[in-house]
Amino acid sequence: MLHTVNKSSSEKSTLVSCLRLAADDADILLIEDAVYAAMTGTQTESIIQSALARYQIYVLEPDLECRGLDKSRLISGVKAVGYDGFVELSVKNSAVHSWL
Amino acid sequence: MDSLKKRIMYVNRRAPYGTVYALEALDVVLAGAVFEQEVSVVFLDDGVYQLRRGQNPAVLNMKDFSKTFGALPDFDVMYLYVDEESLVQRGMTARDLIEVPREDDTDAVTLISSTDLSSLMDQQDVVLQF
Repeated sequence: MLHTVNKSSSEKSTLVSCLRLAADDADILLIEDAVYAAMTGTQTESIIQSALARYQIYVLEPDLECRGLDKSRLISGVKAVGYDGFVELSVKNSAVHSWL
Repeated sequence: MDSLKKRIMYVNRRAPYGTVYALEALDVVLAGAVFEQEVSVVFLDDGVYQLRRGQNPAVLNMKDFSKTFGALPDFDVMYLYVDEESLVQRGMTARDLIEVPREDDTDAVTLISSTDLSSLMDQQDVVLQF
């Protein structure tokens, strides 16, 4: 299953709940305001780091660029994808769960 | 199993009244129920407040839609899963929740652990969150 998260983890509990409940082989894609969580130096960095042991975590590059976030400062292990990558992830997985 | 039947999970994550999400989600569940799919409804995070006993929105001239949950078993929605961790985080127990009796008098409101909810979620064809 592909889980997309679109809310900032410093404002909402969405990301934490998603990471608690996503099954082990899930793909997680951070989009919109959730992309801040993919950066080093935030208070949720350790949550993402431990989640990387269970999941592939992706971040949508246009949403990084839009917010002035530099790809070189992504938490190591998080993969940046474009819209084509978003489509591939959606097709590869049997279902998409959009966390709101 | 009938291959045309899909497993659909509705995930409620918001408290009632402050926004319209909870009410709208219930409308979607009821509308979707007539298509005879395999439906489950989950209450997660602030969504557990939707099932809290003793709601009285009449004081604000609002509709008490928590009563409508009682109709769900009549539409073959037999499971209202409540995430146990979300309850604990909010200082609540099963006794704080409304009961939704099925035809055989058992309660459709069912507490579920993170582990069980995780695997149930993973088995779904469709997950819709509100």
